[in-house]
Amino acid sequence: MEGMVRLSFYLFAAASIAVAAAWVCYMVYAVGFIRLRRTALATSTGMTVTGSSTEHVPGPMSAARFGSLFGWFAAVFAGLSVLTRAIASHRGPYSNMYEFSLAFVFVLTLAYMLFERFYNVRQLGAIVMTIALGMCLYLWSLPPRMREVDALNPALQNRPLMTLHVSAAIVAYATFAVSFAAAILFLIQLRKNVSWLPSAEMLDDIGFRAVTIGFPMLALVLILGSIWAHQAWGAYWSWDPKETAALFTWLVYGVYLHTRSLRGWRGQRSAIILLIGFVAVGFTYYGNYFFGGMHAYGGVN
Amino acid sequence: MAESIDAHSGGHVAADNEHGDHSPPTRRKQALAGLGVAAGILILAWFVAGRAGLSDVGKGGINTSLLPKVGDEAPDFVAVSPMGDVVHLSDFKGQPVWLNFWGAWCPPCRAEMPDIQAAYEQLGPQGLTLLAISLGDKPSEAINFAELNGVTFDILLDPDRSLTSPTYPIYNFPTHIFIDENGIVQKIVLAEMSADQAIEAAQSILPEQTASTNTRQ
Amino acid sequence: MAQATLEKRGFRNSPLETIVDRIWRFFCSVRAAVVEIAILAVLVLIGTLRGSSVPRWIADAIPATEGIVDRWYGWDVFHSMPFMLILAILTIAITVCTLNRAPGIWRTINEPTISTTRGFIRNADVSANATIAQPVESSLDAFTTSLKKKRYRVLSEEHGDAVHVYADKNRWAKLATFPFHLALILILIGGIVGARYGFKENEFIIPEGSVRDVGHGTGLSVKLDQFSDSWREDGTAASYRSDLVLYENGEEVKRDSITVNNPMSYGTTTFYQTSYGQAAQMRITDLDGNVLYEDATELGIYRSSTNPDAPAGIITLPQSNLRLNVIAPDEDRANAPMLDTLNLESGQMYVQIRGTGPDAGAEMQDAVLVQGVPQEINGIVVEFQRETRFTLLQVASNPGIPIFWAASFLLVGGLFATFYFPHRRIRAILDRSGEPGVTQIALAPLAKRDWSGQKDFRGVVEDLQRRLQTDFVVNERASTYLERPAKPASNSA
Repeated sequence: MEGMVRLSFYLFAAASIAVAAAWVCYMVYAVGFIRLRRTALATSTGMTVTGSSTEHVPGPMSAARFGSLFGWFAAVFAGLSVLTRAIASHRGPYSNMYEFSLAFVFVLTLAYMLFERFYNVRQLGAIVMTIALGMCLYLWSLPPRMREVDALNPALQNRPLMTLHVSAAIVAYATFAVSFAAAILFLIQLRKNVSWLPSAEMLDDIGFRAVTIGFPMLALVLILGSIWAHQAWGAYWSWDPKETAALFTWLVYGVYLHTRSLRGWRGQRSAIILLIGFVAVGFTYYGNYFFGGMHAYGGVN
Repeated sequence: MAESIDAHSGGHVAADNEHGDHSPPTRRKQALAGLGVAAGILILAWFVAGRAGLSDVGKGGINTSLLPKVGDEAPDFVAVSPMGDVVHLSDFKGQPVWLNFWGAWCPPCRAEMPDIQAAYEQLGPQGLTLLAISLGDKPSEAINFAELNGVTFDILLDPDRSLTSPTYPIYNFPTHIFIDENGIVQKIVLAEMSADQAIEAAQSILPEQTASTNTRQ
Repeated sequence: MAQATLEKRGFRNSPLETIVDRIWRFFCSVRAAVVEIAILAVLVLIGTLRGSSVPRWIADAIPATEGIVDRWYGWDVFHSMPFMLILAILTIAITVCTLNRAPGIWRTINEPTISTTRGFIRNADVSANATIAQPVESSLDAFTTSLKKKRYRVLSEEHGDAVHVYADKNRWAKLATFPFHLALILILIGGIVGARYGFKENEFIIPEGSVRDVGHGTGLSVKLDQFSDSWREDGTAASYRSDLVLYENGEEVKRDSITVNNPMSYGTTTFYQTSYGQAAQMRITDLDGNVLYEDATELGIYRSSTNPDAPAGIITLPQSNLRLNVIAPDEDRANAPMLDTLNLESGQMYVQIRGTGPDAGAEMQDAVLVQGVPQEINGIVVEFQRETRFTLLQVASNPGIPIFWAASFLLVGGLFATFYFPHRRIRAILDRSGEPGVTQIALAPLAKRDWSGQKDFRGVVEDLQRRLQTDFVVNERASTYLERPAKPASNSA
């Protein structure tokens, strides 16, 4: 199994490169359009920049297509990296921050690529790939010791349940990241009405759709965590900080879902709640750094 | 991998045409470009991962190898007897040997000692040799503690743990290693044992005929 | 959905009725629900941060906040009045809201309004219309088949020259909101039931070979045959195991090994492996040889005041008015000499004897016991026989658990049904008032600002187009988010 662990690390390196390349391409796409829009506004008095303006500028568009290509490669390589590591460890990615974050990069890129395909928009790529790239840099900054597959301590020896618990968490966090990207663009769109961005309706829908995947998943995370805590400690809820941080995140998205049926809240205010929600996700994700409690050995050190 | 690019690019042909791509490349060209990109990433990854210590990855954690493995020949070690004599494991070649690495500073080892003695009282007459190597103890304390427990087996000393650690790096107290008369490791127990469990574990290294007269299995 | 529509009855002028009406409306309001959930979220956040180093950072960064931070650390949010209060309000709100929404949702599912208006279709975010060269009846048939293929239910009604159609899918998923919200209440009920009718022992200690009573009216007692901790060669823990024998009113009823993650249950009582430690097997007799105490005593639960580095335990002998403090050798010898003047070695225990009850304060002796050597001290004979180990279990009986499991199932199931099967609705008018044998069809989804719903609708229209071989005109309204009068438009709509 030594070879599998090594192969997993190699594939992670490949995924990191693909993420970095995708990030560059999506950035070129975004910056290229911003520049073009400026020049278009500056040079042409009568001409308005609309969605069809791309006809004259194949440059940024092909950058975005390369972004998608690299994005898919990132998802594939990260997925294979997670898979080979799972083969070596016979369990899901839950024993330390390295394997958890690696799986997060996989699901984040995959979820984004699926959203990109479904909605046929590539403008979210710049934001999502920034998050993915940040995760990759974080992964490289972790001590190399964590690249090894460790045996489980007795409390974590509940493979099926822990694998499900953590997988659901990763899916939830990844979809929340997509909704975060959509919310940022939505807020920009609402103020600036940028022609090359997708319509506000679509951005709003991407944000909402992503949350409708993530919200039930996070509920599942809380429930599976309770079942595990019940089996391991005899208490399904102990007000452990990481538990309550996840609950807080869930409640924020609960607020978001309710505001969507409120006149005057749907739109800008809902989008702002999505931003708060993602900050909460980050706090829950890195909670191990702030909290003691049962999740402390979740493997920061 | 090639498929995924292909399908992906295909899915977007219409969209790209809307945006007026001048000459959409053919599918084959796209697939080749995709393969080229994949190969480029993988080659670059080889250098990046190599610089980050790829060859060292995979040796730690569950793949750590410290103690001799079951089925391997037990490596030799040296320790000192209470009389000050140098004792080699190889001195006991041809006998089934039970190694008990312990410390008088270690509560589970202290709790276990009467059980080990009880097991030895039954196994000793069957030809089993028990070497209890005290690691990290003041010699007098280890010897006194053994005497208080009426120990009749051999106590060996390695006060600063430097003698045994090259071949037997011990991170668990107590550690039990059972070696048969051919010098092959048959069983490793990294836990405290009751007398019954110790007797059962020692069956794996006792010669057949005695094992069958006294079997608990 | 947001506001209650109470029937206006004759006696609505009574002030009491007005108050009830207002309270009812308050609890039904989504706006209030948003505020309530937000308050709950803020309290949860305050409680969460209390368990972290964040308040400390704040205090370090802004010294003026020192006082608030201290109070923050001192405030047990999750058991505080405001927290209970907001939970109670939310429970009421959920109940009232559910009662309020139920009839409406039931009507939407079972007896939806079929008739519609041209105005509705015209003003929809997206709509489609076409002229079909078929009579209304066959157009309706084709329309119905097309929608049924897409799992829609189709209802129609004649209105003069026109047929009004209402089609929807995933309508049952609308009900899923009820099990979900019910689950939230059930979780609270489960928690209350567990706290009221259950018990939890966090530190239930049994030394090897000893029997301990569970208490709490269970009639149960547990014996620990053996505790075993096994490890891996790199020194990491592999498992903690306790071999237990369970007695009910003195009769053996169960024998099982438990490990972390594999508890043992008997009736409603469950035993969980939590921790372990060292113990000393002690035997105490009087001078005539009558046994006063013969059991293991756990060490490490107490710390000696003279040597905090040494695990200690207490034995009480009520009939002799004595208490024995048993102190083991230091865990970390290198750390001890300053405090430990005794220099206990392995195989020794230090015993301090103290008077209790009427003998409290009496002058007593201390002694160093050597393993296996009985020693007379203060009129009793004390023997430290050997060291053993103890296991630390959690013993819990929680009758709220089945409620919690049921709630979990409803909660997760309800959420997945709600969000993964969105209710889609389409309205249409098929008009025969033009040329004979020709149908004018106009249709639109109930999907205001719902991009996915509109996408789904486009799919329906495409399918219809193929099936009827008729071109449909799809009308779209510009972004409703952006249509603000004050905005300088840079985009041609």
